Amino acid sequence: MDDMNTCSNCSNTIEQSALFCNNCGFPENGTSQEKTKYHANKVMKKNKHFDADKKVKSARTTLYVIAGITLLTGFFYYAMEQDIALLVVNIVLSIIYGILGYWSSSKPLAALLSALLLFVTIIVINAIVDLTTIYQGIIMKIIVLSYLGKGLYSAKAAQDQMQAPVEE
Amino acid sequence: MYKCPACNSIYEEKTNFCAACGAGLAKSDDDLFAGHITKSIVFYLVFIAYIVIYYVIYLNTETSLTNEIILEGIFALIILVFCALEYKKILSLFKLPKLPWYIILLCLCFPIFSSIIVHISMAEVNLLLLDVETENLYLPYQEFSNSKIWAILFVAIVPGIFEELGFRGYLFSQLLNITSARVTILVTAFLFAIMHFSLISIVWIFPFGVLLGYLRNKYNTLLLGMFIHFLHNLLVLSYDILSYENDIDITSFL
Repeated sequence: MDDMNTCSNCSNTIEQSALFCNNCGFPENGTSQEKTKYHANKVMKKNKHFDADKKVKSARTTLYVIAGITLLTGFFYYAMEQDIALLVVNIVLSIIYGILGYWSSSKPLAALLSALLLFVTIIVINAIVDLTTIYQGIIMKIIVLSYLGKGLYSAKAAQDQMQAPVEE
Repeated sequence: MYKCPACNSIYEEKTNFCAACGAGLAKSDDDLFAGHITKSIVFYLVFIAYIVIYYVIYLNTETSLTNEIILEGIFALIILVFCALEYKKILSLFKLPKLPWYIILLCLCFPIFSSIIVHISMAEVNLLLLDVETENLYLPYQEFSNSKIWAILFVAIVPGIFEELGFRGYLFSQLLNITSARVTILVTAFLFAIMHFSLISIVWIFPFGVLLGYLRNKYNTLLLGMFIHFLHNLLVLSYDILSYENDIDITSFL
């Protein structure tokens, strides 16, 4: 055991000659500059995770907004054309978006994946009925998709942060 | 033996970082997570794209047996390509574990129950909300020779096998890597419900998907789900055949 050393960052046993810890990547035998860089990178990663929470929140807000718009559209068309089927569909959809939005605070991955794919499916169904609907509000659709997508890919980081003990 | 791609140092075992140059050797959890998410999204989008193409061809051309065979063949092929990417996992799901008697009873009785519910409720809902008669499932096939065999193949067997392979096989395994079994069951059931393109049907397809997902997770097999899915579709189809050929409505027996 003479030629073994302990990593000062993660307490993993490493060879004395090793420049880096093979568990956490800490430059055990590196210069102090390299060590500082390692810690700086770690802080940056943490900030990225901080950002993740914000992205999930934006996605949640987006879902509530879609829920509202869907509901209003339903009533609008009902007032215009007395189409009860469309009204029921829009109310159901609006409720689903609302539930998914609420669920995204405890299970962001599941809720945002479901919401994103539901949103795409609705666009596709509308396009089958009338192809021109694809272009209607296309900028808004892209914005919604990008918010939901960003939230979805940040879901893991956000969840890790939720479960991690609060550090002072 | 593993080799560091940055400095060519050689290691006996897998490690997170290269001890000589500090390069990261293991894929981080975040990368793996993003990979599984992307795979799930791609699977669903390909599935949807296929359904759209099917609808467009179905609406714009005369129904013909050749068309139908080609389209169903492409569907099976798409699913098999996805499953080939995870063939080890999917193959391990083709086993029949020892089942308690009540699960066997459930597999036999649940499709009878669900198919009757669907048969009645679809007719009611379509009439009430859309003011249309429900389309008879058997109708597109009745002009072919051996029409019943084709109808059973395309309505009961193909969806039973390949939808299960796709949703309870491929998609389920992807999501199980990144979230809990309970959440996986709910999400696959939800996606399974909305890909049927009928928001009203969510009411019964979602619980149906939850049951199939539960059995898939509890007994680690796809066979139960395939059987229930097949039997359900077969029964719904047979009610339509009965009403088409003999003008018998099964609801009149209830």
